[in-house]
Amino acid sequence: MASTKVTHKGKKQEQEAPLKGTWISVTVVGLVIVATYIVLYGLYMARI
Amino acid sequence: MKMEADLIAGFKEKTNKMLGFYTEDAKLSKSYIAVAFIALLVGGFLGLLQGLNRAGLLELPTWFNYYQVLTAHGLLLILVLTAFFTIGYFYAALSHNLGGLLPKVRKLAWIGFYVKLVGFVLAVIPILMNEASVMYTFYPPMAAHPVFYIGLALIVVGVWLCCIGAFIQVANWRKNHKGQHVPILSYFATGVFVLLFFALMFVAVEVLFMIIPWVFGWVDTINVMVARTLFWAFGHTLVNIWYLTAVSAWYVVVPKIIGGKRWSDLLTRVVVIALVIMNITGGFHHQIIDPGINAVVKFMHVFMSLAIGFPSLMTAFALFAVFERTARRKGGKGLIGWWKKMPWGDVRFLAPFIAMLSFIPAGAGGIAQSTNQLDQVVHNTMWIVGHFHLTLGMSVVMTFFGISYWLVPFISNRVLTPQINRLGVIQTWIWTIGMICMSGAMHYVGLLGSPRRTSYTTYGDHATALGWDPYLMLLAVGGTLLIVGVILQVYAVFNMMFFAPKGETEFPIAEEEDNATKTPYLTERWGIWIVVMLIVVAMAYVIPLTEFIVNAPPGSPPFKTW
Repeated sequence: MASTKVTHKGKKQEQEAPLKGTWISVTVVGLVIVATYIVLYGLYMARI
Repeated sequence: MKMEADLIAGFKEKTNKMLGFYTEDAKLSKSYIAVAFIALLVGGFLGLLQGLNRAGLLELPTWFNYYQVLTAHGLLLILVLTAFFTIGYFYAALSHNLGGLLPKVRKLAWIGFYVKLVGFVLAVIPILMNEASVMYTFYPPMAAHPVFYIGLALIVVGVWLCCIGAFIQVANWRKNHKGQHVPILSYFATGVFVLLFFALMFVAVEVLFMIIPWVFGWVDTINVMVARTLFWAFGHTLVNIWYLTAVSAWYVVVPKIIGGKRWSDLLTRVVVIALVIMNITGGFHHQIIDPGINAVVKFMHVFMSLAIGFPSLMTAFALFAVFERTARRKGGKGLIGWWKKMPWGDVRFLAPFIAMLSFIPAGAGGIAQSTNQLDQVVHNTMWIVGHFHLTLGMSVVMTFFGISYWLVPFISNRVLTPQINRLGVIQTWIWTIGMICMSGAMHYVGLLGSPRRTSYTTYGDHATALGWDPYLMLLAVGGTLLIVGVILQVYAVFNMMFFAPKGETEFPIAEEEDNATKTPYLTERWGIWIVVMLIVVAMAYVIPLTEFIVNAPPGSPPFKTW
């Protein structure tokens, strides 16, 4: 029984494991996209 | 003695089947993979010649000039490497997942193999004779020798045969497993073959009904706008077919290699469906600067092109989530400290992981290029070549390399040794550094105005052109590193295929999370998704193609510009 409890607790912890690192990583992806867009937009505006 | 040998052989066969290994199917995949990596070797050397020429370090002889090399490089790496690898990989998956290939399916794939080989030989001969320096896009009004196009038509037929084989295999499995979801890697295979089947129709119409009658002189002129549009409806889809092939390994294989589980079966299948529905319509963003297409149509195509970013961002989230969850289960701590728990020394993870990372700038560049105004900054410059090498040469090909380190041992009944793994890690870093140098230099020199599809010239020692030289030199350094990477990779593949120790290798397919929600059966209704795809394709192409035909520009006779 004790081991079952531990397993259940473990599963609960797994389910509640935060994905903060994932959100940070996805934010970096978004920032790269925005930065690329801004750089090319800047070049476009500078050249027209 | 004979009885004993028969018993051992029978036992081995049964064991192999339990492991999902079928000898005849393995031979098929092995042949496809072998051709793919021979193409990499030859195409890689041709790429080095181009790089050295663009840096002004090597003058190519007139009997084997820059444009011949460029056409052959494109054909070998863009068509041969990718087509043969994709088919070899997915046929291995279909065999492993679905209980072995049906004899008629295997036969179709073999016929397809030889038809494609004959097609490639026919296409290469005129290139070597300097009769087909039209590059892999073969835009009219540049016209190659007719044999070149007959070769291309045979390649299309060969790939179609493989598509039909895959459809028969999946349909047979579904008939015998009513109500069940097709195993996930075979689901990806279905999506890829559906896309290949339909996308090839566009290029088949272009080659068979427009270009071949034109180069044989049966018709005097060709409608250039229609030809370009048909090419890119195929060409753009082909790019995303490679991407979808790479993504299949990211979702299904990489989680298993790192000791984790798949993120969400439903999300994965939705991503496949979304990419199938929205892919073909992105073709016009390659023609965004072309005249003769009205702004409303261009706007719609920009929207459709950018829509592909949505499933890509879903993929980014899902993969980071798998990494974080797996790393935390292994004791990873902190906001980003858990990254340390990833198996960095395992080439089967390292190569596809760097491939994924490279897709971040590659995708960002693609998004920017899809915008009309921003594309004007980079259109027809070396930036585009850099973008292409980042997407295909890193995101896709490095994933293929990563796959090879378990797929080749699996289909060869051999094992990945620590020595080859170490070699693979070294190869991965060499390839990464080489591609960053080459692709980075291409991007930057493109922003400075250096054109693509042009051999080395200083434009009469013009100051602007001379300013490109340092970056072109970096391009050559990258290209030189890449050929070292090519040699190491090809050595590793053939070592694993023929010389590595005998043994069993697992086909790594990650399981779903324990508490995963049930995926609705709607995802298996391919009839619906194909109809939706055709409606979207019709929305995108009927009006512009009608305009190009009804208000046709003057047709063009064939030109040999080289």
